[in-house]
Amino acid sequence: MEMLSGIIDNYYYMVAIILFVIGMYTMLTHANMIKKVIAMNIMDTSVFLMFVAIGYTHGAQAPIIKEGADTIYANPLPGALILTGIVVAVSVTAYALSLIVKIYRYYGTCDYDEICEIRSQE
Amino acid sequence: MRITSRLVVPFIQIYGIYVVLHGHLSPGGSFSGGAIFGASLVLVALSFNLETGAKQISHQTASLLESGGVLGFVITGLVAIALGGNYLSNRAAGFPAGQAGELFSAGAILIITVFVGIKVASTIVTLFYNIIEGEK
Amino acid sequence: MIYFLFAIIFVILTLFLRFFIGVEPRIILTFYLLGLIIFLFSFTVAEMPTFGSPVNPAFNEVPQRYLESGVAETGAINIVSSIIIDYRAFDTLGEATVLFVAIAAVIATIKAH
Repeated sequence: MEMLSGIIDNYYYMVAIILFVIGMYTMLTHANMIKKVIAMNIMDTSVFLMFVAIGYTHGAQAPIIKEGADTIYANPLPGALILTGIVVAVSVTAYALSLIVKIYRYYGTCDYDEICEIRSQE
Repeated sequence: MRITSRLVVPFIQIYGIYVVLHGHLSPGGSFSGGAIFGASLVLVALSFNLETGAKQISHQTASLLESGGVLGFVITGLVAIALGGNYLSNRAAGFPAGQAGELFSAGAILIITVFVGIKVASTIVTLFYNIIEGEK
Repeated sequence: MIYFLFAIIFVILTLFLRFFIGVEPRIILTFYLLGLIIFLFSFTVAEMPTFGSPVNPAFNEVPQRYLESGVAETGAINIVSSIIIDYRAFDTLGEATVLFVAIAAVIATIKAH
């Protein structure tokens, strides 16, 4: 079937989607809040992988101009856009971790189910 | 662990400064070089105690450097206006541009890279100190 | 007729996982939802442009102009650096602002009274 050969040719995008689904599953089921932050980082990384893999051609080199006749260079534009995205992901992770520190000092636990029970008994 | 980190930290700092300064010649640039330099200061604070880490860069110096990085970026754009061009322009305003491939070429790119590298390094150090010893 | 078969397979699989192995119904529902997401997205991946073809729609005249006249206009060999600092410097200014605001938010949260 041509759909199966289409998936096997674009295996980079398939790996990005599987990474995204793994991150989403960890975020939904595990109760520890630090694991949820790590899963958010995994989802961010999968999106970056899919964006940078768009700008590649076979036999291309990094976009640093060298003296030569004609060499195929990779597309520099998606990589330049993802640099800003990486910084935004780092900022969101730092803020989420500082919020977890404040919650731990107030409730005494890092477990989401226990915090819901404590709050429902007040 | 202490002997190894005391041996390795100067090499990490030299590598971080190399990545920042050669931002327009090889892969890297301001963000990755600043992160490497900031990680070396966090390593000093983790392997020894916190006072030794605070002696490398104090809290006031880190806050000043971080604000100074952003100010340097904005003032470079205003200098480009003063030299006759649009905001944050490089060649049309008259920054000194040498040959392609030298270290001191492409005027505004080197200045902006150094400022943003200083900013990112002090950002990582400030984050670490505030989360570790918040609220005393 | 084939949907009836799928429904019977799902019901039998759910009952088997719930009563024989002892998995919670919340985790079973999460598995089904994520399986549905992978199944729907595989149709999208099959119709994307081939990975690494020279006639990529993302390789139109804008990156080619950056690659051809990037060294002559700016003077930097690294094209990614010249894009984020010379051609699109305003986005890098916004990103430095985002970093600064994040640090201010962390300090304001941690050192609140």
